[in-house]
Amino acid sequence: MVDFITVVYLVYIFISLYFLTLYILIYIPNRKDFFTYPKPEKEYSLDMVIPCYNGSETIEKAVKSILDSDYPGLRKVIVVDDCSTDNSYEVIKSLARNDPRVVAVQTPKNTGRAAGAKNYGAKFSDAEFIGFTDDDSYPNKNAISALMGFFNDEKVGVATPSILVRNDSRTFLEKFQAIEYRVIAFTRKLLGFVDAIYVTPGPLAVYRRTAFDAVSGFDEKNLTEDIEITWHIISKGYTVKMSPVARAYTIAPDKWKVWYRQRIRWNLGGIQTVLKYKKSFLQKGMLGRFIIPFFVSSLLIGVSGIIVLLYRWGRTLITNILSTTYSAQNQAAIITLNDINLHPNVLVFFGILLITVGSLFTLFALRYTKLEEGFKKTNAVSLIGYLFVYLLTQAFLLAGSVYEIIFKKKYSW
Amino acid sequence: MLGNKKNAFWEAFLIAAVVFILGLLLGLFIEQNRVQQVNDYFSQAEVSLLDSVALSNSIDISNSCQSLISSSTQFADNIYLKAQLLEQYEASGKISDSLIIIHAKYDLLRTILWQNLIKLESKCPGQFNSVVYLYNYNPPSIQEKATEQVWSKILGELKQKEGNNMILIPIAANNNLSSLDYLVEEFNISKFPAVIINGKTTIYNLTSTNDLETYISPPK
Repeated sequence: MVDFITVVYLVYIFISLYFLTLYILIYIPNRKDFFTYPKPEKEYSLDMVIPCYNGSETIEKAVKSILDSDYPGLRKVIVVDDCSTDNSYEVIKSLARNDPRVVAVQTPKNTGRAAGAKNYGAKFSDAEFIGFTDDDSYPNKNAISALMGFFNDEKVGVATPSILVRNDSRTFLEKFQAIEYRVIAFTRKLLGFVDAIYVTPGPLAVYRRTAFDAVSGFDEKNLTEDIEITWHIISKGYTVKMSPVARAYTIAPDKWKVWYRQRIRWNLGGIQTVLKYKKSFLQKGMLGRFIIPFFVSSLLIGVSGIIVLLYRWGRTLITNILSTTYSAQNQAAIITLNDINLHPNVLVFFGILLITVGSLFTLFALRYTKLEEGFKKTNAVSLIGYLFVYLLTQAFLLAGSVYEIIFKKKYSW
Repeated sequence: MLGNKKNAFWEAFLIAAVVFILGLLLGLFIEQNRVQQVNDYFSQAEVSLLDSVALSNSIDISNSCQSLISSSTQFADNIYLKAQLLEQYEASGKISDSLIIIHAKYDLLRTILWQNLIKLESKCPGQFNSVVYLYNYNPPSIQEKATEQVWSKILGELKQKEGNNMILIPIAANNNLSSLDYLVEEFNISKFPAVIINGKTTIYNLTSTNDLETYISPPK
């Protein structure tokens, strides 16, 4: 009889195999279209909204990167100060004085989350399309123009670029995230080919105004308003597109503590969104048949996996500590040749297969998301650390999220 | 390749399922191969044991203690090594439980060996040392598991030191073998793991190799 822990491992293996195969199957017929994007059939009017909270050090650069865009239909850059406690609003007002396209606004009181500031800023826009970026994100010159052509298709409700890490050259954490974001950008484009993009991230997303209004903007109660609005728009029958040519750079956390809180917030927001859309589970459409099951299974497998892993590691660790103590007390060898088992089992074979295919996939993804001038190349140490250390942390983050749900901690900007 | 691009979801499922099933079959094949290998060893061990028992039944024991002891020692050593391999295979076995049944068969064989040694001891007293190690197949607690691991090491070291002067018989005591249960009762074993030295001394607590050596008679 196969034991429970082996069953959990086998389920893990199957799901990993499934996603790797899915990505390969999507890639093969679409590889020639990977970097292509449609040109806009007309000059769609676009306003950009940048929410800002205590971003005095980064906001100027963020606004400048939008103003430098080569998209001719850009009309306004609405910068929303969410009652910052630093001098952000002064900086924003000075930017508005220097460029007539910049509109400086301030929320009547702090909304607590980016969604509130984004919705507030959207009220000042009357363009056909509305884009959002963060106060520490920097889209490339051609990022917006590489997105707007997708809206030639009336069904497209949102378009999003590759989100990459700007600060990728200092700590290991930054280097890991730099790799992670590139792999995500690659897989997101693949999912885009089958209309399965499940998030249009904060660093840059452009919405069709009618789609944005149809869902009444961002859900201000949600911790990950960018996931929620994407699901909402998909549920209204719109599709989501992505262009890897369009790039937006963001500042990733450089400290583990900040990173941990960010990821917990993302996970909690994901769970919140799943609960909100639970009625769509397995219902018709990509949201019900793929996106929600994907989220739910990731959550269940992640949490059960970490419980099993901790149980197994904990048990082995305690057994080894006791065994070592008893061995020392009785003058026995701590380790003998018999303790080394050189007879691999089926799980080991599957593990080797997955690690090999997964590593090749990561290398392939990195090759497809080559960095521009000025960015450091990914080195082998970072890559190995990413594959064998960083990816493992995802399961712990899920466990941390469950902990946070139990103790109901509050999250804001 | 993809008529409808959304077919990728089903195609991926089918391909992943095929790879997964092939992997499982490969795993099953490897485990069955190991079962076959251990079964072959078992058949050889069975022949050796029957040979040893037949030898003790057919010759005048008082004059042939040495050859009987030597035959039992060789058999016990051989089965000890094979059992170690079996245990490693068992630890690796994930999708088939055939090895657990073989383990019980090995335990039965070792119980017969123990019975034979009891008879031999009465006929050739003090001419050899027997160490029977009774343990739980699935120890109920982590503490007991660790204790068993250390007992295995200590007894392995003792066997290495003593060589042919000692016959070591490890037996999983909770395999529902009535012959073994009878012996356990006969020796008044109250808990596992337990080590019975020369049929006289029963030790329950972990004891160092040096201390155990004091119970072992020097070679004659």
